[in-house]
Amino acid sequence: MSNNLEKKKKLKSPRNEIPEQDPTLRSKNFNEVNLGYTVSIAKKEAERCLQCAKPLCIEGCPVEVDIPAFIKLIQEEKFCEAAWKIKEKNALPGICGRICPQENQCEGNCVLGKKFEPVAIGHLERFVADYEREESNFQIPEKKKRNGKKVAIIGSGPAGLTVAGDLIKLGYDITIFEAFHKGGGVLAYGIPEFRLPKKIVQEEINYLIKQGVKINYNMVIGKVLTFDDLLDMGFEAIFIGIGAGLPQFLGIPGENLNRVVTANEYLTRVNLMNAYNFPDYKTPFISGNNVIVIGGGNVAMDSARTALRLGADKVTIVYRRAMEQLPARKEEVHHARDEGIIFNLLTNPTKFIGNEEGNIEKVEVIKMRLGEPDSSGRAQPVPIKDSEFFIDADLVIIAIGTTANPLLTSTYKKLQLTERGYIATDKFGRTNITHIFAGGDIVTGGSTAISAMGAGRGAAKAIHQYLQEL
Amino acid sequence: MIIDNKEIEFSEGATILEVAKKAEIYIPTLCYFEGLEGYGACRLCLCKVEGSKKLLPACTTPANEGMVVTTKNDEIQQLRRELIKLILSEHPYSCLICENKEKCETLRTSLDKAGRIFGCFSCPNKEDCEIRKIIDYLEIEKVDYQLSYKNYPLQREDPFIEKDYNLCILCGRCVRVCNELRGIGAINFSDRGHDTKVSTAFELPYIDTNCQFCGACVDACPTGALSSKKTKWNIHYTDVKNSTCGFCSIGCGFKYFSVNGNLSDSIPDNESPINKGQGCLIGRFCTSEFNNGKSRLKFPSFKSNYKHIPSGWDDIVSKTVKKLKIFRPEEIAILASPNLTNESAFILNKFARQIIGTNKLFLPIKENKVNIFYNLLNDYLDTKNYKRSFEDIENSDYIILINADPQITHPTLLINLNKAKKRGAKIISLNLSKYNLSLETQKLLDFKLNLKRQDIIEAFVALNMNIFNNINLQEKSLENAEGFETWINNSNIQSKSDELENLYKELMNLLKQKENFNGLILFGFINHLSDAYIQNLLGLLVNLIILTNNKFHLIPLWNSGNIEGVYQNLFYNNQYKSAYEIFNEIENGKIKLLYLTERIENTGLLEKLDTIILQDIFPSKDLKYADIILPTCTFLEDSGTYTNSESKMLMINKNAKSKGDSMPDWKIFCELAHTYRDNNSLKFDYSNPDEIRHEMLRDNSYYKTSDKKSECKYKLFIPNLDENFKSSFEIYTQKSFNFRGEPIYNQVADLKNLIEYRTEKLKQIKKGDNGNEDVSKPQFKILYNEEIVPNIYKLIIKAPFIAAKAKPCNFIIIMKNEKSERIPLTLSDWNQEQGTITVYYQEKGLSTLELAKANEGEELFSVVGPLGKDVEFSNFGTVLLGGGCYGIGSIYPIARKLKELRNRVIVILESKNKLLFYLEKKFETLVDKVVYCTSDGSKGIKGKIETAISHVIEAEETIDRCYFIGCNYMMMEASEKTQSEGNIPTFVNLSTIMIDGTGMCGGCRVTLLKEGAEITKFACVDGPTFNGHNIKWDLLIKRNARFDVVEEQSYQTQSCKALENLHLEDENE
Repeated sequence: MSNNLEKKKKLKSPRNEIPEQDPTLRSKNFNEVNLGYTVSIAKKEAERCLQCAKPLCIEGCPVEVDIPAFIKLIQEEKFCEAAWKIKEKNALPGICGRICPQENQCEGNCVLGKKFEPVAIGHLERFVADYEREESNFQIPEKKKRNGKKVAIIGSGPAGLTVAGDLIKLGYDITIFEAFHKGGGVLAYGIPEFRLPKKIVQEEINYLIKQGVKINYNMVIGKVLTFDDLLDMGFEAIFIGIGAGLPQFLGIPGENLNRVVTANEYLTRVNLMNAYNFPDYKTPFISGNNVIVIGGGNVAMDSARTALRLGADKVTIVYRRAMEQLPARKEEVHHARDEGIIFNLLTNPTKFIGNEEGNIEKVEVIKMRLGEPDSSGRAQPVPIKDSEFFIDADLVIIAIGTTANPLLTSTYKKLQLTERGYIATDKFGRTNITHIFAGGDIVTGGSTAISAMGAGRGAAKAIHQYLQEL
Repeated sequence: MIIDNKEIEFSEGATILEVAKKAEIYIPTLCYFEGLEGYGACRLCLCKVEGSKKLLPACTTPANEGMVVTTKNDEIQQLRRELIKLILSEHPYSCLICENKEKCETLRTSLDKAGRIFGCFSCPNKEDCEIRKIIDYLEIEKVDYQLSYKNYPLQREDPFIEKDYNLCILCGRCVRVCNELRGIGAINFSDRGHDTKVSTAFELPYIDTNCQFCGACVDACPTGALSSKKTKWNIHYTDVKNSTCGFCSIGCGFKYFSVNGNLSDSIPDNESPINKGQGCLIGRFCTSEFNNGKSRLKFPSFKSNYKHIPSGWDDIVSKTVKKLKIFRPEEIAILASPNLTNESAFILNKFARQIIGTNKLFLPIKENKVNIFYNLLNDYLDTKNYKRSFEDIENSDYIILINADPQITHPTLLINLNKAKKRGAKIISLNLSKYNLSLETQKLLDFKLNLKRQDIIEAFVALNMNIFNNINLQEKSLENAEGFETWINNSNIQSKSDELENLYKELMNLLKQKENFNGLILFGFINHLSDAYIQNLLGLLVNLIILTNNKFHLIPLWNSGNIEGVYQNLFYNNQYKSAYEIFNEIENGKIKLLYLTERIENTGLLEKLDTIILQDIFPSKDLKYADIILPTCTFLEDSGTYTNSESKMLMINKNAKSKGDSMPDWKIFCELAHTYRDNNSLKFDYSNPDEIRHEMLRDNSYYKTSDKKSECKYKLFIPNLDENFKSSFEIYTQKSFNFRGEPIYNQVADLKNLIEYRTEKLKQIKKGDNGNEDVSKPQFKILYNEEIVPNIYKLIIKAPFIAAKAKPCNFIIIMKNEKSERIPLTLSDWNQEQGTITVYYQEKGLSTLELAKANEGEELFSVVGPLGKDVEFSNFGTVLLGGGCYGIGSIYPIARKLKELRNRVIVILESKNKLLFYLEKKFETLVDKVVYCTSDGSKGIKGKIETAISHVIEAEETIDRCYFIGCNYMMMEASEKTQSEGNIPTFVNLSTIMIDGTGMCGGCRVTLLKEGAEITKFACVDGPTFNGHNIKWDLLIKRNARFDVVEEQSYQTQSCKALENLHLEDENE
């Protein structure tokens, strides 16, 4: 077969879909929705890759994984080697394969995608990471000789873990300070089990620990230790990756009624504290039969789908723009719809109304239409006059985003912040204080895990450079 | 007789109290308990009887003709007041006489989930308290005696039952009900005088005694001293209904409590004529947990590619019918569960025989005996007119238990047996060897014989012969007397054992001598016997009835709740097919589709079938083979009737909503029938089981009263002793107690633990890590953790980082272990050199309970802090501090800081009773003035915080600032007071529900009112110290109660202390 013929065949072969749990079944359990490629499907999908001479996919990846190389290894059935290839750039492939918005990144750039369907890079990444883990065939990079320089990382979320992964390889002595009793940041408390099994987060953290990274849990930096304390302890550089944890509210009447909760609380109970195993685990979850989720991002989808799994009869997403503007990952919206989540679009809550016991009873909402695009380029939602109506609810989850938590930054007035309270940095994560670096949501505001990892990668480079010059 | 000027009729032997009760005249009493003899201990029921100098106790004085009784006058009431005050001096009474009682009750609607009960708000007895009722009746506002709190340790080591003898008033109801009524005698009074208390022998936990956990003591207790773990925190229910317990064939009446359609508790019904307010471990303590079992089948589903896919009923019904139509009717067999209601069984019969057209309905193998029993009654007696009743037990002179162990299979019957024994009945047990009867059954026996199967048969043949030879045959018209005589003469059977010889000689004598002899035979099925054997044995027993002219009664003790009813509805006037026949046909390939309404767990057999339809409530081994799964309901989620071992029809009422999409059995059969045949001439569109019952009573000839009187057409059963008596030896134990094949103990953790503990199969769990590498070893060692006053614990932890940074008003968040909740606790003290921190906490819920159980030397999984916004202190002048409960500990660092800054500091300590104060010395040496206030006046001012504040304000010139820490209710009262007293700046420390404590979850938000506008603050980062005058307290109190209901319900799933470190040997199976 000539090369050309083979290429044509590849172009015509359709993208291999990932097997999923049946929607009716999965909406009642917390098992992962995507079941993952089998070896044969993975090979078939890998075969579709054209191995471009100038691969555009790498450009789309914030951490510049050598995508064609790892896919080639899959074609050669060297699955573990493929995982190790990814790990050269990305310490957390099992996580990224599951939760990156690939359609806007690597897969968005795939040449095949212009006329046909792009290669399922995310699914393949997940496949090799799972394969490696299940085979327990971890390749632990040789421990480099320690250079004696200590770096403190505040927060064990995707940004912090990436910095740790990169710097440990360069011989630094790395200590992560985590406020919670468990690592992973948003990966542990925010993203539900059915999307990202906590076992995988744990395994990827374990992989860092095996390489020598130290994690101190239960440490709220700013309270128990200050930046100065850290310097006194001999840390020469500090990376802040504390995310944007402060929940936003709508600022409308009735928001403090019982059973009006933030997505942060709702999801943290279930994900971090295992509330769905109550009372085996002692944290109770908040149950509702008729649930309204306000917001249209990934967190809103996660909350809605979690509510369904916790036994809700009806879950409605209330979002003020239209379907096209939903900021959530496409796959999540598709999963949510399959599972029976109702989308009440172009509506916005105006008032929460409670009953005698102080519990939410209904939500007053108003209809919206799309107006002129705003500064972000998205169409601005405008309320339609006198179009208010009520929706019954016994649980309302507010998932309209988060902002910077001032707990740490307010303890160190010298650190320069943006107007909205985020840490001001250059594109390499340098702050106005030479030994302090920052990255992820605390710099950019709520974004994706992979972009936080990209920021972490950049900051790691900058820290390395700074400590070399010191 | 006349009571309170009312003329009342009475029956011989009744006491004044019983007569008054019938006439609805209230006489207060604490020691009287229905079902027990009068005791006369509490003396509250003293009444004036004309002609008697002394007042007489109504509970022990028999009513007499012409008696004139006064139940209430000033003298009596005054005496009663003194008596109850004496009783109260040993029962925490602060709440009972608290001036704030009403306000407190309207605001604090939920129960305080405390361990130790020190007031009505933590008392599980609150809703239905006899003491409160008496106090209201006697209008008591003050108790002159100091509370003598015994400070007994809480007894929480047992499953199902918790004990706090500090509340005990020694009425003796528990002791008497356990000894007299139940005949168990697990508890008694120990010690004398002031030290008298109720306890088990050697003060062992119940689990190490012969306690049966029947719950009778709990239900008899008029105080909260004994409580059910299930309802310790959970006394609120939204609905209560009477129904019948379906776990065994007694059919006890129960009251079933539910919260929003979920079953929460079951308590024996006093009104039920069968069990008269008594129950057993299974019915009393296991019902709701079993019914709410986590693994209940909830959604109908079908198999596709080896996986079960849930679907809607419409789809599943049409799929099921399609499957049913593939096969010829004779290729379809249906297993009927002996736990179906009569109505469901009736519909199943109609559906199977008239819609599908199959006759292959059958019962589980173990229930084959019901057919033998009924055939014998039918052939030799008269089924419908053969009456039997549990009440016969009590009136019997001679009771023979054959292969029966009521303690294991029908626990509540022990009460009837116990009553019979007290009346002087002789109780003997004839039992098959290899099996040891349980202890409580043995206790009732005059003697027991462990015999070989053949021996029992021979004994009864010999008895039959003896009676036969001694009666006048002319008196009876026995159809086959001659045949029987011939058989006897040929059989040449003689009993080989002396004991048996004695037995029938004794019986013969009794029969001859006693005109009204009442003999009773309880026939049980504690192990599997062959059909031929049962046939012979039961036949001989039936002969005994005939030969003695009904001087013997026979009651079968079925192991399933409704086996009689199901049998009558499926096989009365229909051909009976045994499970053996059906299984043979499956082996031979004649049956291809099996419809199961109860599991068979015979995988070899299931593999031979084409199609399996499974209608069940819990998953079983059969599930894997099922092509279609139809989830159905328990007897608690359906209505209808059950027929018990007395052949009585008992009402089942729906008490709980069905789980998920599950449907009652009858409804499933009706849906299938509809889809199976469109134009149905048969009725299948019932709206409720009542309609079905109506039709059942009309159409099933069993229920028609037979018009022909039992004519003397009796004939004698002639045994056939050539048959093979061999049978499998599966012994029925407590473990086998099941519903629809699901063992109860599978679903009820404590029951499982109890049984395994007592069968000594428990092993100490090896403590060790799960091998999770990254979980860094916690460094938070507990140095001290003791209950210093009731419910308040002092905890000292090694946590150098936190000790180094701690400030007054800071808090920490603690997790005891990986599965714990994160709970905030205010710091009370810290020591930088030693690296230790101290907190005082109150046990008031799941997490603090767990913490209270932690031992010195244990490591806490997580301790985070110091958290909270720092509070600025300076020299303010005169500062008033107030603390209650855990807040006494929490205000201490504030007092110390203020003294360092040279303020004049006055501290109010508030509690229900002086026993609840701690740190008094430390405060007295530190601050300028300490004011105590108690709600019962036992120390300092009598009253609550607001009363004490008034006192302080009157005495001081000015107060510049206030800080209060305590429960939300106390802080609200204090803030309202200081606001009305000239707006003194007031700060309070809020304790809210939080997760992270760093501002992330928003769960701790507090609504403040500032200049008329509501603003939201986070207690964790903006507080926890706030201006008390700005807080919207009602909202806060409601927010803090938002998990109460789930938490209350979770308490019962907490394994008891004695068992929590143990685990089952076969857990991995």
